[in-house]
Parts: sequence; C-alpha cells; structure tokens
Amino acid sequence: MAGDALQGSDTATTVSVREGKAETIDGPFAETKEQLGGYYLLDCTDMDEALKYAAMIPTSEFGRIEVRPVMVWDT
Amino acid sequence: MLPPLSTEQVIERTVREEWGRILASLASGLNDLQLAEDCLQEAVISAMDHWGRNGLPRSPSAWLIIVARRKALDKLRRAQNFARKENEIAYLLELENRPLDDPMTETIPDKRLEMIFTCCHPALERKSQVALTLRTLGGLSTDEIAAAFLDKPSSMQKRITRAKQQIARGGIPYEVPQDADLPERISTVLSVLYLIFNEGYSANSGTTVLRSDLSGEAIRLTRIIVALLPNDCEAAGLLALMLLHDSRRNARVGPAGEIIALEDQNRKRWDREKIQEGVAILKETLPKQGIGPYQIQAAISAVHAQSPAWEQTDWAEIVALYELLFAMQPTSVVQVNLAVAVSYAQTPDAALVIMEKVATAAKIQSYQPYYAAMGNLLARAGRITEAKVSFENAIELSENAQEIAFLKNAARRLLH
Repeated sequence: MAGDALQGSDTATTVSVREGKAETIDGPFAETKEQLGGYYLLDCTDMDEALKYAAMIPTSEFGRIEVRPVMVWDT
Repeated sequence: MLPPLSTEQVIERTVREEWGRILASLASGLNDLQLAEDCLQEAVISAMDHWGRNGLPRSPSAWLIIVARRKALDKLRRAQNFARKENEIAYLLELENRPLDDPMTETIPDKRLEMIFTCCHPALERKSQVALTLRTLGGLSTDEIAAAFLDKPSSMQKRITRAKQQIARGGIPYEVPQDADLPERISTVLSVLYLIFNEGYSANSGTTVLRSDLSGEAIRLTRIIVALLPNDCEAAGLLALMLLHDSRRNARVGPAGEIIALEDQNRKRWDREKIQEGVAILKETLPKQGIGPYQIQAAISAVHAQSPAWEQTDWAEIVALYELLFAMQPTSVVQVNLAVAVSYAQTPDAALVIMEKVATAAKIQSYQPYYAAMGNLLARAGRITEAKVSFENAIELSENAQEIAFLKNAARRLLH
C-alpha cells in the first residue's frame, strides 16, 4: 500500500538535537580528528560490521572509476 | 600540448560530470528512477560502442539523454502496464519528434534539486538516503558506495534497490517539497551531504584516512544545493565548512601515508584558494543572522585556516565558538572537542573537568575520540598511569592502521 511505504524507519536527525535529547553524532572535527588522532566508528546498529573490501569489481556500467585518495607530495 | 582524450576518457568524464543531471531529468520525466537508471546505463554502453566507431558526437550529454529516452520509450511500449504510462510515452514521443537542430532537444532540464529531495525523503533510512544520493547525483557505482561504507556490494545493491522501490511504491514525487516542509527537508539533505563529506574527511576504517573522492563529491553536490538555494545560510555554511576542512587535505597525510597532527602540518600545503572561498562565504553569510551549527563549525575551521602557525591559534575564539555550538548541539562529540580547545586556551586540567561530564554519557564505551583526547589531556596534566590506560583504550577502539600508529607515537612522545 502506498501509505505503508511512507511509514519508514524513524530517521532521527543525526546532526541536530530534538527536544533536548542530545545524540552522539559524528562529524569532521579537527580538534580530535586531526590533532589527536580521534575518530568515531559510526553507530553499529546503523552500519553493517565492516568486511574488508578487497577488489573493485569492474562495473559494466561505465569504465572503471578509481576510488583512491589523491595525495600530493613533493619530495 | 596535451594529447586529445580517448573516447573512453570522454565517456568516463561525461558520465561522471553529467550523470546526476541527466539521470535527474530522465527520472523526473519518466516518474521512475529505476527505469531512468537502466536506460541511462544502456545508453552509456551504446556510447562506448558508437563513439568508438563513429567518433564523438557534438554534444555527448545530449546524445546520451536522447538515446536513453528512446530506450525508455521502447521499454514502456513493451511493458505490460503501458496503458498506465500514457503520459510518459507522450512526453517521450514529443521530445523524440522535435527537429534535431531544435535547441530544446539538447537542453537537459536541471532536476537535481528535485532528485536530491527525493533521495533524502524521510521515509528512507539515513544510510539509504546517503547511498541513493551518492548513486543518483554523484554517479558513484554501487561498488564505490559499498566501499565507502565497508559494506558488501550485494548488501549495498539490495539497500539501493529497496530504497528505489520504496520511492516507487510510496508514490514519492520527484519535486521540491512544499514550503511548509521545506526547512526540515533541507535539513535532511544537508545532513546527508555532511555525512558524505565526513566519510571522506575521516574514513572510518581501512588503511587510509582520507577518501578524497567522497569529500570532493560532497563539495560538488553541496555547491549544487547552494546554487539552487541561494538564500539558505546553513547550506552556504556547510559548503564553507567543507572547503575549509578540505583545504588541509594535502598536509594531513605524510609520504608514507602517516597521519600528521594539526599542530605539525606544513601550513604552506594548505589550499589557499579553498580557504579564501570558505572565508568569503562566511563573511557573506554570517551577517545574515541565520546562524546554525554548520556556520559555527565553518567558523571554527576558519580560525585554524587563517592562523599562520599553530602557536598563533586563537584558541579563546575557538572555545567561544564551541560553546556556541554546544548550546545548539549539546552532544558528547562537541563537548570533547570543546574540552580539547579549552586545554589549549587554558589548561589540560580545565579540559579534564569538562571531560568528566562526558564520561557518563551514553555510548562513551565505544567512543574512540574520547579516549584519544583523554590520553592526551591526562598525559599533559601529568597523570601518566591513567593516560596510558586511555591511550590503550583508544588504540583498542581504532580500526584504522594509520590511526593506531599515530596514537602509539603520541603515547610514546607524551609519556616518555
């Protein structure tokens, strides 16, 4: 039924506070992440446990698109 | 002089740059995201064949959408329920019958704003919103998105398919929401983009810390939103935030892939253009009095960006901004970062007082930055034994090889 599909799971906002309830959220904060080597594994109920993803399966859609960080380093 | 691009390169670039726009236009015209995607993918495959043999068309993106529309027409005519698709078929026929030199034939209406609202519809789970946004607007393959979340590609495929089905079954229209709903819906879109950027800024696992593609993708998509919603202060703030954080990308990682702390980064490697752009956005947006968390975070990043050296960082300003942010978002994450700022503006002991309040917060047991910060603060406060434990906990919770190496070095340095 059309109505059912719209009653999805509660997408409680992960960034703002609702009615005073503070949630632990993740974000790009330099003071911990860049300065102190801190990082936060996002809530595991929301994300599947990590399985190391080794090889990129070439997509038939359109050529291979590299997903690698581009690091510039002049020696 | 650079060699001309190969056909494959042109296809890849065209697809990468135009995918979102073409797909959004198709999906909205066909009222069917899956159909649109299938047809566009087939058009791309055709392109690889045709352009290779016949050379590149004058307008590659126009070629793609015209071919995609034809394929859609084909499929709709053959489909069992074609009677209910009269409108879509009529729409396609009308486009098909336009003369080839009609400029409208090549015009691809920009429906990306509608598309992003659809992808970020509240009926979908947050993770699905992110995945669908990356897929439809970013043009990322399912495999790439799966990699970003460290999911199995099959799981991600199922998730995306389910999301599209939800949109279809729910009759979710491809349109910009009503005025009354708009603020909340925009907020969701911005959250999704923020999350995508964050994935790129600090990849949550694996051996590398940065995934520049995702950050770049987030910036690109946010630019689109800002262009389409020029009066939204937080959208502009989000773009500024991304640019300012991203400006430090090249200084954050060393030649061996090691993480370089903010304190030790070579500021000459910071991207001045991005900083300038970010600061300019803030200068224009802040006076508009529509202050929000993204603008504040951008302002914090701007303080760092504009400081010529670590030693000259205006920590008092950063503390003030974090306090403002905390007032809006009283979360543990903000509190820990506030504490760290206080440790530099005042003393580690003052920071530890704040950290005590975080200790009792929910989910703290699995919160790595809390332990990384505690290790640092306790060590600087001379509480060596406790610091060691904190560092050990932080390392335990880290999944990233470079993070672990960083923490081990930090512990070694601070604890002699």
